[in-house]
Amino acid sequence: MDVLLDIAEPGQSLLPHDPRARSGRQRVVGIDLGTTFSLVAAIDLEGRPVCMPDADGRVALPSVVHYAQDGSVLVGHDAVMQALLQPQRTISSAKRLLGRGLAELSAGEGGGQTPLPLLDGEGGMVCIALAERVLSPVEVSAEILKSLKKRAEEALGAPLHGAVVTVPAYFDDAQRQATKDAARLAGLEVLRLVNEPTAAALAYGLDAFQESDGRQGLFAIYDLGGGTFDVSILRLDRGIFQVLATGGNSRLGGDDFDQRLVDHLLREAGIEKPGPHLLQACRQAAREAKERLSGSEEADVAVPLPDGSTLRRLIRRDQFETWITDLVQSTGLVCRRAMKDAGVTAAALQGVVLVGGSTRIPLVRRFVAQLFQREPLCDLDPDRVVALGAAHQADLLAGNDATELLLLDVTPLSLGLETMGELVEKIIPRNTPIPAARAQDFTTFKDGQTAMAIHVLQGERELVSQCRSLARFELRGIPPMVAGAARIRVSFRVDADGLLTVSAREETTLVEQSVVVKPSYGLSDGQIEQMLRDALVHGAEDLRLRLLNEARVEAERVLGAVGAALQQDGELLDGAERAQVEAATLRLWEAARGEDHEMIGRVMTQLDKETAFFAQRRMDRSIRAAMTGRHIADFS
Amino acid sequence: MVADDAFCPTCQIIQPPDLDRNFFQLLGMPVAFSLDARQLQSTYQALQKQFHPDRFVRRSATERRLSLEHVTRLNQACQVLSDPLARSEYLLASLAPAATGQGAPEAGDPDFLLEVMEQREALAAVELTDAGAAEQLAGLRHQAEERMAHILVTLTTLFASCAPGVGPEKYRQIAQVNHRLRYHRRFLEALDQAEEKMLAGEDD
Repeated sequence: MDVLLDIAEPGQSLLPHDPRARSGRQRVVGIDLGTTFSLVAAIDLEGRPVCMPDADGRVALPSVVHYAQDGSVLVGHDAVMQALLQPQRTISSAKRLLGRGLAELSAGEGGGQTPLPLLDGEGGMVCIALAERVLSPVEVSAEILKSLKKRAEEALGAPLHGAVVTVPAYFDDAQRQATKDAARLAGLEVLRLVNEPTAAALAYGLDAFQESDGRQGLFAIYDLGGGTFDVSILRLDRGIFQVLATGGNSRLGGDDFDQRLVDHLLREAGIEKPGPHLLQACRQAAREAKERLSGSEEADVAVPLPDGSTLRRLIRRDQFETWITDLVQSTGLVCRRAMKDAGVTAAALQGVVLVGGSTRIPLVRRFVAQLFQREPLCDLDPDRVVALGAAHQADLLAGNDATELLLLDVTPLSLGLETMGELVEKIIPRNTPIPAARAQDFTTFKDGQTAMAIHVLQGERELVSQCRSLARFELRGIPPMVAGAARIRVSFRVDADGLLTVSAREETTLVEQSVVVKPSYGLSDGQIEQMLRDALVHGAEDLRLRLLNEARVEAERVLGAVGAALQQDGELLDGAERAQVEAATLRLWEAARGEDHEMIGRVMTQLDKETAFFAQRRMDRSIRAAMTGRHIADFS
Repeated sequence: MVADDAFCPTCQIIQPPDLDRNFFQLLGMPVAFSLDARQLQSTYQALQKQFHPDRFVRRSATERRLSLEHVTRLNQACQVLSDPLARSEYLLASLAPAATGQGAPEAGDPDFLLEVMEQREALAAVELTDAGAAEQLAGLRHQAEERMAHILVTLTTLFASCAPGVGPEKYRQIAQVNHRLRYHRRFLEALDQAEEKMLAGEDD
């Protein structure tokens, strides 16, 4: 089967009697996993990206998950309803906790977003304590992804081949890994993690702007969402979206504006320690007021208080603006730094694009216009633009779209190692194009030293304590030598998703240690498998469906490969042989329409056997072609 | 295209990168210090379109890994060639590996050391909270950038005169100039940090 698959063009036509053969497209989607809400989008039949609605026609799924007492899980609008009734069983804004440790959260920003108690989980990662269970933000995010996956599969009528999931550009390694873990837990095949601003640029089709004037297609993407802020400076040139620099704050967003409103409401009402119900009610009222203030000059707020009375306030837009102005202005420094890193000035930009719901706030728009010296572009719905771009990128990756667009992205934060004196030595500086690799040589500082501690850090500051610790490991088995004689090469690799792997090797003896920079903060593979098993115990039906879906996707892939091989090299078979191959494929096609995943597997193995001779002949042909110096294509 | 042989002519499958090829050859540029930045960028883009992992998402694990290796090296090559200091050091290391460690200012470049110390003192004297701080920092930046531009001209001349068989003295000179460039680069980084502190003070 391998041989058949390798020779066949991927994604080529399915068998002619498969009704989906005409499209031949991979079923892929783009997912914007947001702090306050999440969306899923796909490319429609006319080639346009569209957000997929739920049964009630709503595209935005609130990123809220409710864990009911009976063990059932509600996601989205249903969970929002429960948030007011049972706040201690309902989790919102879990994205702010993804890939974070308890210590850094209580240390300052980002804390207090959920009224639920937080715990120190395994691997130093924060966990959320519900009444009778402890959940990691990865599991909560996986519920949201599962819900979107289900929505997409119902709309497309079959299991997904894969998804592009977006992350804030400024997400660090831990947060990216946690996002990928969540997708894995949800049973999604992640084609690529894509940065939100880059996805937005793709949705805007900024490449179309490029020809219009002399400036070289330089754009800034200003992305202020519910919980994160990002800015990216991009250059668009001949179908390539190249990120020159990126910056941000992964703990700044609309949630913080809501919090300011809540603080003022509670202070004016003289309430110092609100209970979870009151806090939840305040937060919801604050969010609604904030949204109304984008369209009108004032908004009424009414929050029912525990004593039966109602807290009523009229909030004017200018009041609200003074409460949040320092937060908005703090994005200015980040933008100026990004422009500086990119080596561009505001005047050289061709445009500024607004992304994220918080850019609806008039103060934010005025601030951006002033900062970049131009009116920002906001033709597309800032809430949907990231999902639309992600769908576009998924389509490109799946090979459904023949255009040659390509996204080139960078590392948002510097990656380095701890050296003597608790200092950080940068190995891969921020804004390095990815994938990237760098190596640095170190040596021993004591005679006879046989081990060396490697501490991997991410951040811009000089001191270890000011950077984020990603991993610690030890290179052991260094043969005893005098100080300074050993040569230890530490290699950093960042892949196309922005994820880091570090390895260390003593060069004279080739003693090697390597870590995927994951287990020290995130979930280990074992933990994820355990979670998958736990989830499956709760629903054996889930497991069966999942295996069935996987078998169907695999069957479809095989059918596509055989179909393409028949089309390409069908003349290698005589009539009877061709009939044999076709009969075998038909059996698989029938099996794939059934409900039995084991049967699909058996028929697939059978097909493999029955078509082995065909694969062999195709191999022989390609070898003959090589010997005569001709390409396979020349024969057809 | 520069790297046609990176794909098997028969099966069109991606092959491992040729590690014997230096960064100049990888990007189809002449092995020289002078460089056509536009040509570099356009070759880089063309190679990215061929090799980027996004083009191999649904290929076998081996092909995906090879694509990643190609592009990782391509990115590194482009970064080295785009940056005059990295380019100069890389070129010197390939022309005369022994010369790279030479020419440190501590050993025989006292005038330059003095110049650097004056610059550093001027930077340390800037009061970041003063109204005129931005202007003073800009002045120091301008001065450093002018000196760097001057050094680049010197480097271009030096490399251009490196015919085969040229003596070790020429390479020692280049190594010395590289050290100077590196000092200025560090000074610019210090300026960046000072500016950042100043801006942060404004915004908070």
